[in-house]
Amino acid sequence: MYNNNNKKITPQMQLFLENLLLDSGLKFTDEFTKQKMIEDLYFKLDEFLGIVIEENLSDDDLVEYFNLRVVNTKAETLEKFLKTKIPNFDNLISMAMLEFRNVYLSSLN
Amino acid sequence: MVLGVEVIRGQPETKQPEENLARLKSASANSANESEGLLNTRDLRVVALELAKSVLTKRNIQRVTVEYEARKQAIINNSDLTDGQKKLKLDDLNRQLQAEIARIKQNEGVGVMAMNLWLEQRRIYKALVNGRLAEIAGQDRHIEAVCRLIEEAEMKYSRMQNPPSGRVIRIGSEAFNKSRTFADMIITDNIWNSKVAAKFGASAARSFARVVATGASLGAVGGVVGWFVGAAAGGIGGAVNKYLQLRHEVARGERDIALGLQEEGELGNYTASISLSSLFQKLKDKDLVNFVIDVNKINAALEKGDLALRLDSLDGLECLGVNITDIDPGRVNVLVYLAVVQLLNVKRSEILGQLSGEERAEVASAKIDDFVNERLKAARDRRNAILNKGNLWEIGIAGGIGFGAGAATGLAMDTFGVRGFINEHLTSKVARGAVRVAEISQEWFKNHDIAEYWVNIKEQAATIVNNIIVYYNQGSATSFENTQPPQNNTSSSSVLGSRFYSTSNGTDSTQPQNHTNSGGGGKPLLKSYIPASINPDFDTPNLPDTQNPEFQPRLWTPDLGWMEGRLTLAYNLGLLVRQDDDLKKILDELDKGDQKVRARNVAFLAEAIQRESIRTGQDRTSEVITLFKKDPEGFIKLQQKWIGDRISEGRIKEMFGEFKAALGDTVSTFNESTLGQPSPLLNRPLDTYEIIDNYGGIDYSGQIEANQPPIPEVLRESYRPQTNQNGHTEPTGFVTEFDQSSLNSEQFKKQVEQLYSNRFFLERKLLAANQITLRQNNNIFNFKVDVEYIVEVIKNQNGENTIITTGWSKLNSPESYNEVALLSFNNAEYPVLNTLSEGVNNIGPNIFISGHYGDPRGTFNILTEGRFSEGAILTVQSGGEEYEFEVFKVETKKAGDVADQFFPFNNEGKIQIILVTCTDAGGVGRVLIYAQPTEETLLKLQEELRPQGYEQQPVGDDQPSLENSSDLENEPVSNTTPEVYRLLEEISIINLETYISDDLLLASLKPFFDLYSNNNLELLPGQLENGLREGKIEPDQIIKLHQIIDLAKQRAEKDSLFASNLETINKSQFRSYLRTTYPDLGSLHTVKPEIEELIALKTLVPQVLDCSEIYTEEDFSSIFGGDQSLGFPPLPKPQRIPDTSYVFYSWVDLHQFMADFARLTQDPGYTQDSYDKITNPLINADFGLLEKYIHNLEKMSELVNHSYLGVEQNRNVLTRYVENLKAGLNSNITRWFSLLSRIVSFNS
Repeated sequence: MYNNNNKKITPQMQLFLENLLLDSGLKFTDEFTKQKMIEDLYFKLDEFLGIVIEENLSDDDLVEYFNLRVVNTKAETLEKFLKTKIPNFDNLISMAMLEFRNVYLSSLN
Repeated sequence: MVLGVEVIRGQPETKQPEENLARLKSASANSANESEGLLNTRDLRVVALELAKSVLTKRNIQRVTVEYEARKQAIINNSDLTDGQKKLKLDDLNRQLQAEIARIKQNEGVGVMAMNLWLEQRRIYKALVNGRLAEIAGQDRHIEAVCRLIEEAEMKYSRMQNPPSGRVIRIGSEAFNKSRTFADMIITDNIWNSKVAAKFGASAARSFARVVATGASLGAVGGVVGWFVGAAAGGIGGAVNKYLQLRHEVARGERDIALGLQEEGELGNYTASISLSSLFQKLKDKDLVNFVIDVNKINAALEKGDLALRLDSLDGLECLGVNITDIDPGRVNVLVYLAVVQLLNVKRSEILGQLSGEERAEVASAKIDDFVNERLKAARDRRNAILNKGNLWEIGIAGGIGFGAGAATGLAMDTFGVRGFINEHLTSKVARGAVRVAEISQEWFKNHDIAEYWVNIKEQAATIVNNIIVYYNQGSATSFENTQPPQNNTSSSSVLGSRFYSTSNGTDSTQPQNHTNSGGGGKPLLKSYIPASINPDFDTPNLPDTQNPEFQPRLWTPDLGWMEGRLTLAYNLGLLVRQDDDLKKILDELDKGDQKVRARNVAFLAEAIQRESIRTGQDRTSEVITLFKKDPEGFIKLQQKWIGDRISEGRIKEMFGEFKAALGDTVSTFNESTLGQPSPLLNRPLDTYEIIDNYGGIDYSGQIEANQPPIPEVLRESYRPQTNQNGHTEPTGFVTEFDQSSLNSEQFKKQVEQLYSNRFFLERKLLAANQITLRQNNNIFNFKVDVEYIVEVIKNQNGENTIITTGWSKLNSPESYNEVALLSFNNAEYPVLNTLSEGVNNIGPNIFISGHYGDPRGTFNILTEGRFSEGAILTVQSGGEEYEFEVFKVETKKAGDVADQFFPFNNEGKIQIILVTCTDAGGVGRVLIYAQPTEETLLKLQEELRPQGYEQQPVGDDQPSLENSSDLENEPVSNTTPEVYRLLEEISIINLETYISDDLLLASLKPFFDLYSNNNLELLPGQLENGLREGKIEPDQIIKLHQIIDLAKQRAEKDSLFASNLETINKSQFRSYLRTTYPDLGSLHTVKPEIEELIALKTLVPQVLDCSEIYTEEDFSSIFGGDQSLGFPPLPKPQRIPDTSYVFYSWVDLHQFMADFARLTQDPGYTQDSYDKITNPLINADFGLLEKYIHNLEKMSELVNHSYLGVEQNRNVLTRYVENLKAGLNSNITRWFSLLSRIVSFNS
């Protein structure tokens, strides 16, 4: 989900990041620059979410999680695993995205 | 000057320089509240670039415009020209101006690119390095990589006598892929990068598959098996093969640099994680900057709104716009960057409000980077801790096997040229089909992460192999239990974890952080692998000796070829030739290795040993000579390298002189002519002094506007620029002619001669100076002096040993204007001074106020140039007295010029002081101010000298003889209290806690011996007590003095010659005696070294040798014969005093011999033959001779034990010597029993 540099940005993420830039008040001279900025932010956000997931896994679960990754487990299986191991997984991701947003916006003030 | 400048792609558009500068000034003017956060590096990028452009361009254009106006007025006012001629000249002048402005604008880009080298992080960009085009391909670049780029580029440039233009440097893993075609120099972060490995793996797999598939053409099964095995083994072996191939290319000279870089810290966490202080430290560590700018002082200047003028105070910046090819670009870039960043160290909010959307977005992005990376680090640590728990051995062993197989495959293919053969000849359909299958398989592996898995396995293997190498080099490759992988290292410690995190730009993070193949020579990369219990010395790794002017810290691994890995490791770990049989092993390795690169390896080893020698203080010349004998061409290689490393010509000749003598005719190609060639490299000084806080908040504003050089505040009021007939500042390069008439009087000559004959005294006075002032009219140039250290060196040239006193002092100017300089005398030993003063050596005490490019010491030049001329007074304050010297000549030299041996009395050995101020770079050159003591100073020195036993020295035919010396004998010797104080001052000058040689110490004791010889010693205690009561003498001085007196008494009691000789022969008689002995000596000062040495020997020798024993020259030569085949030149011929039975052999010479002897006999690198040559003469010598020698040893041991300084060091030499004697005598224990007992008693 977040270790692939070439992965396309999901529509949801695109929207989230566009709104983030909109709220930041930043104005870009062209659309290309703006999109590059979104991609850059997406990469960092993707990385950040992965970190948050790790932080919320126990040691044993983390090893198991890595083992799943090694064998290139499907995203659906991974998601199922994470939701099993991390209570309120969806809420956790949402909170992480919110934290990311707050950090970004605060850096501009 | 045409530079290979290209505009950086992808640069943001910038605002007008004036506008940016104005807003920055506005921002800085309000930056009083320092509690607010500061901008980080990335914040500053855009505005930094603009500021630099603005300041550079504006200032340089202003400068040339002012010059233009001056020249224009000179033409207009020239009445010798017709109106037509004036018009032509003015037109030509205008064209020059426009061309100059165009050039400045062009160079503006240079500065921008130079800064982008540091600032740009995410783009492929181009930059100018060393004035040549360097392409930096790749993406994420840690600052470490850039540091290395500069360092390596600098090194490469330094090696080229005629560097070609358009050299290409590539950085990064992508550059590695492209390097075969394009790059002259490759700097890549890691060739084990999975992308690289995959790419080369595929390439090798194809080749390997061809091999197998060839077999398949004979049998169907082979192809199926072949592509599979080939893909797997080739994937690894190919990478190894490529790596080795690259090394071979380097070894063959086809490529210059192939250096694996170590990424530090968090991969992908580059910009934001680098604090300014750490950046400074990195740059300083790499000798890329010489000083650190004090932020507070810069801020103080900022508050004045003086940004532009502050920039102007940096010498390096000047060079950006003017003369980039003549200076050290690495430093320039850094300086510019640092200056700009520091200048912009203003409050974040004030800058942010003025940034464009893109700029603010970048700032925010950097903040996010910081935030994420901080969390990432914690997550990674945890992950490492969890995943490192198991399977490491299993993975490592498997990886080791895989690695070994792959390496063997790759090596085999490369060695036997299989791949090339296949490529050229086996192109059958079967082979092509197999290749295709292999490619498909490779793709399959890649898609299924198995290729990456193999890469990780390979990394683990590399870790183990590294450890094996380490253990091997330590001679204890027996156990791996203590081998621990590096901590906090995802890639090396965790196979699983490594594949999940990549850098923010896509660079794979599966790179080992510490492995030998990174090639970071000169830096111990494997520290974390080495348990301290295995190698106790590891805590003091063999880091480059930055304090030693001969050796600049730099990397030199690329030339090593196949031996590089091992030898670099050994060197890094300080293990080189440390064990008994290491040298033999290395010689064997040389035999077994690639003979094509043997010379390079020899040169590398020789230098490594030299460095180690310098670090430890152990003379290892013999080992170097042994290596050179192995391959004399290595001698040439090292010579070439040292030239490239800017070691001074004199020093190279000196160092190689010994080697050359040892090598004899085997090195016929010793190219001394090369040494004489002017090298741009010699323009760079070799000292590594560091200045902190040099600017002191000085306001230079007035000078800039007036187009005058910056002047320290303390001098500004008195500054009165000299103007020439054209109405502007005196140009550089003038020479004031010296009127010799005032110095030709006989009286003056006598005074000078006398003073010179007591040169040591004067030198010591100068070394003790606490302030030096140069004054003329209202111009004052003032230094405070802190004595740093005094050393004594032995110059060995043409078979003669000369004691040379060399003092280095630190000069600090008062108040806010700090400078550092060297105060030195007869600096033949130190290349930095030689570089600065070729031609002015050995003509008397010289004061070198030495600054060099890149630090503000260069301001000296500006200060002195054109401001001081004949008649200026140089005042030396020393010991509460002032000594004035009058300037009789000032000359300005351009960089590379050799100073004239001007002084008219030079050949007669007259005294003079030469004040040398210089920057020694950038074409600025240096100013030499020649001064001689005024007559008042001469008289004052004479008065001071006389009571110490240095009586008047007659000149000419009226010299005294033994017959008429009674008057001189009866000359009263002062023993007044002030005289004692003066003697104490002499002692305190030579700080007994500082390292000086015993000779110098004993020379300082000479006045006490003289007093003792005149039966005045008993007067001293009372005087001392009085001095103590009066507070004029410190208690520790009393203690030291009593120690000295005790020593003198011991000497007198034990050595009959000491007492008897001093009683019967005074110094005048001694000199007269020498005149009789050496009738061709002429004036005494023409043979000053001999005279001085003999005078010194008169005191020293009785303490060293038991002169009741008569040593003939044959005796000496039979033992110490100076067998050149053993690597050391013959010792100087003993000097015999006729009509006596004494052969004077100086303590220094004997000490040197003992050191040589100990070295030769102890040196493990010597063969049995060499050892026998040394020991046999002792064993087989006649009893009496050996006994004399041992007796001499005993006498020496006494001296050493009472020398106060360097006792341990000298005692160690003696102890080693005794041990060798014991070993030598052991073969005939019965015969030498009595001698052994004496040795044992001594040693105990």
